[in-house]
Amino acid sequence: MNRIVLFGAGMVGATFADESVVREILPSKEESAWLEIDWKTGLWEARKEAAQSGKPIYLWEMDGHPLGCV
Amino acid sequence: MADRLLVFANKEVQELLKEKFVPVAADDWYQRRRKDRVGEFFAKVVAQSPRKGNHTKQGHYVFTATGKLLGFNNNRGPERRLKMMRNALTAWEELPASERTMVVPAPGKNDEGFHRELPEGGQIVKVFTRCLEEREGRLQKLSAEKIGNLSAVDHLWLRKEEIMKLEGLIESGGGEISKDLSLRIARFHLRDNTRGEPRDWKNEEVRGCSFEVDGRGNVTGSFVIESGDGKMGYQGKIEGVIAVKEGRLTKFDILVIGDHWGHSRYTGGARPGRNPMGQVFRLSEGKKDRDRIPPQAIRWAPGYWEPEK
Repeated sequence: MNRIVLFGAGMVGATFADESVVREILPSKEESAWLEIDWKTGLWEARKEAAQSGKPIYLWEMDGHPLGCV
Repeated sequence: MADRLLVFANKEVQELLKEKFVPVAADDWYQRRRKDRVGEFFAKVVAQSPRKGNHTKQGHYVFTATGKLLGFNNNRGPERRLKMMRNALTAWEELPASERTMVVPAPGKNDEGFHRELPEGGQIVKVFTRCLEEREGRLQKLSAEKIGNLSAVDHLWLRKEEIMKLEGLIESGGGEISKDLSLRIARFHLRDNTRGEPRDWKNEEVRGCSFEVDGRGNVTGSFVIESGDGKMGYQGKIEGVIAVKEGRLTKFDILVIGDHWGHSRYTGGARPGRNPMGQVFRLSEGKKDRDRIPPQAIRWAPGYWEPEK
């Protein structure tokens, strides 16, 4: 490993000095588009809201949380 | 991850979900095992679906608050999903009002064996991971056609006492970050989850892991993690800044750059040899439901909190 990445610059509150690699790692706007849906994570809360709002429930079920495991 | 990009980024799917449904997402590992009212309700829905009798209950379900299944599929691609959603809405509209709604009772006690919540006073750090490659003299995300080019996300949980310990360490001029927290980060968060669920690192696979914070909150460290047979590993450095005020993290910005190699059972398709991977740790306010998703590795909760044991 001979890559050297310097950031932080010794100051609390500093942003990364190498912001470019951080931007590469973080999800792009396109990758984050699915988060425009306000997903609930509790089935019971969804059930209550569905009963109150008069809508059916849409459940996305995965082994490993669909919103956060990968 | 494909669903996120192919289906749930689709404008038509989004509009339909926002307007006509209550969208919820769940980890099947917990939900299919729960022995409580939530688990019973889910089992009732599954029993009407093609997943009845299967070990896995993964898929996309549409159902009423009363538990009547209106649609199911497990296909990728927006067209088939949209078709299922529209058919389910038609079935919904044909239902008598009495079958569409009900007074939902209190959920009762959670099955603590299969339910995880952030401890009181705890905080959440999002962990983003991306496979990188060197192009034009700098590290960049993989080109679009390569497997595993998407950014993955997981969550690191810290307990209140660990945050206070960090604050004390910084105030005292700095030193080594506690073994429990360093090992938690190394074993459960320094992993390649860009192509699926990676396995946890074992204690003995963490060959070296030293993370320090100085009196100004600057974090530095390095790590070497390798499976016993040497076929999978991760070696790199971390640097960043942590700030704590009155027992609360106000900043947790960490960048990890290293070389990763190999794959585990559910993360096939790794590039051959050692290749660059990057991770960004960022403090989350935890305001949205999706921010409060348990860490993937907390299925084994005692091990997550006390990884040395």
